[in-house]
Amino acid sequence: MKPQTAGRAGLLLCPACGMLNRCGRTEAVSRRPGCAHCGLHLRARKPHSQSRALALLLAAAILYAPANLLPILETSSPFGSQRDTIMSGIKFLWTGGSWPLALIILIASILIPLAKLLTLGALLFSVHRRWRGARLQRARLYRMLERIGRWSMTDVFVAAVLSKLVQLRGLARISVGPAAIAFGAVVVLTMMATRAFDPRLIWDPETVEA
Amino acid sequence: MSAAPLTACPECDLIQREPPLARRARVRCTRCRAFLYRNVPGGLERALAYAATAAVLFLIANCSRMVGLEVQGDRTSTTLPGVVLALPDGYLLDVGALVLTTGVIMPALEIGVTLYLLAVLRLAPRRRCLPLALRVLGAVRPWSMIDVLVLGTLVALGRLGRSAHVDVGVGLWALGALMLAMAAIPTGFDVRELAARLTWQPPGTDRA
Repeated sequence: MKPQTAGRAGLLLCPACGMLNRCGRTEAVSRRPGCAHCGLHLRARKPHSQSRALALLLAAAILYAPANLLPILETSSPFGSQRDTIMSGIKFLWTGGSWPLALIILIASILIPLAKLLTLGALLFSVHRRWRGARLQRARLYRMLERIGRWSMTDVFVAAVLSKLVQLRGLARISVGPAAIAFGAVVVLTMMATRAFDPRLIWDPETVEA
Repeated sequence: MSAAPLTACPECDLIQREPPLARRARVRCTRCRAFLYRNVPGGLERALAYAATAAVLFLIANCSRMVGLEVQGDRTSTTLPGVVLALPDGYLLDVGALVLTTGVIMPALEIGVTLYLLAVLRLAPRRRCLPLALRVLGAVRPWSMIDVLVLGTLVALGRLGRSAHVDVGVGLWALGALMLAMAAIPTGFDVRELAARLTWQPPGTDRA
């Protein structure tokens, strides 16, 4: 027996109050019905989920290059100036003996953005090809993406706080480099892409076609 | 057929029966294991208390000195808004805007809307704007990053701590407490209980 879904039964779940609303298929498309209990506008799916997620993901992937190649911090002191990219900053922390900090930045700034780009890309590909395997694992992967995404913003905050605090006349000045905004944009775009992706697509091959 | 009410999973759309809910229990989707809802005794009152705490802590965190730095008699210090305002002109509009949005504006919106929602539910649960408030809350929450801001500040201090004397101000302590208070709001905040108290009527039905 095919699993029964709300979409096929002509029902819409209100995400705010949890009420199941009855609606005709055409009605759902044409005039965005409101929840009978709380009045929230309802829709069966996130609109244009795949193309929006893919567009945002591609934009993030393009900005990933300047985010990693350009300097994120520029330090100037009487002993010379130094321009640090994300990776050289991590190396600096690692060799300087603060490996816990290096590890935090490595996870937040390198591993999480990379994992988000690759994982969401793979999810989009699997949905596009209507794969039927590993649905539960893919659903869990998606939930993990939603949870960890925000933490890659750490480095932007580090750069902002450092550049504000280290303004010591004659000793050292730190300022934010051009990679900071590219990196911030990668974080924002991947978060938007994750939110645009509709996890119901993962389950579609089972319910719609089976 | 049993009389248990039906519900649908917001992540995979599967229709399923609502199981009887024990105190403090959580319900997950039978197919994709997504979290559906939970039972929180006294949830709304507790959430209101946490939200009020968060509002006070937010004001303290934004007004008082967050961190200070001293190197050879030269001192600098900053508040949370100071981090944004001190960025050089070229970065004020992009990095500054990003930090301001995720570190100040979105948390303020989250706390404000939560307080409004819970207060209105207690005092006058017939307001029209409640669905709008719920929707705003859902859109704002992912972008409110007090927890990430605290981590970022601690990492920055850790970097400086080897070469300079760093002192932690009231602002950072308040920010840490704010992080905990804000994390505690959703745990006491069950939308089902909220919906049960909601007596809003769709337009047209209550005008007669």
